[in-house]
Amino acid sequence: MKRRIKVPATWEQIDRLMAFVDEIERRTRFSDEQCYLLRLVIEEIATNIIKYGYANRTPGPIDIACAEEAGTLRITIRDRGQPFDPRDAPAPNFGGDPRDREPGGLGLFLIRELADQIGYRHNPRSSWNELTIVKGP
Amino acid sequence: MNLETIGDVLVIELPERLDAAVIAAIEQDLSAAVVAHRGKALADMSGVAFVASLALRMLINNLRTVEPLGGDLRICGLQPQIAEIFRKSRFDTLFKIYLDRATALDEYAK
Repeated sequence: MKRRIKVPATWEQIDRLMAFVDEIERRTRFSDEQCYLLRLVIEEIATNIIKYGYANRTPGPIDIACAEEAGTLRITIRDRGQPFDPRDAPAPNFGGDPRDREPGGLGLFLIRELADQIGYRHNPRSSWNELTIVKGP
Repeated sequence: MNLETIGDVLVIELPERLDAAVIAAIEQDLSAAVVAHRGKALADMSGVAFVASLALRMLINNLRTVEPLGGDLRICGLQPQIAEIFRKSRFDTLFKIYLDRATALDEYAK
């Protein structure tokens, strides 16, 4: 099973992305944990790409693919915004006031906590970023 | 989102999905209600099946706003997956969290 959606990175598209998640939830047999991660990834990563990836430039695409292989969920998110490897994002400062935490940091932290594997690569020639998130059954 | 006052406690029943779109729709009303109440508030999350990081941020902002006014914001009814998110993000250390609404109201009454 593989499903894919490609939308411009604008706030108006968030509803379409969430409908894409609803559709996958309805039509696949992912576990509750996998569905939660899928929704979290699409929500947090798409909003980060819209807010920061294409900040101060014309919004480009967000291209999301979701695949199931032997019960494993594989999410691939591609964009052509500012390169950013979420694995490098610092963990939130849990000792300090949560309001002072880096924006976006908490969402990425939760994704790292829930996912089994996270991969990232940036192609400088094509300018595509590709983030892959995997969660087993 | 449903708001109800039970005794002196403002009970806020949060919707099933606390994602960016829903938060944008309820954030102002929630904050206005909590500030206007200036007292004991309880977020009933028994119907909530998804929280994005923005939702955690919204909750903590309301707690921090209402505390200096002499109020409090407590939480009840976390489903297992949501409780896990609270634990992982350490938000379980920032709020008083109760199993269900009845227990939370009893504790507020003490």
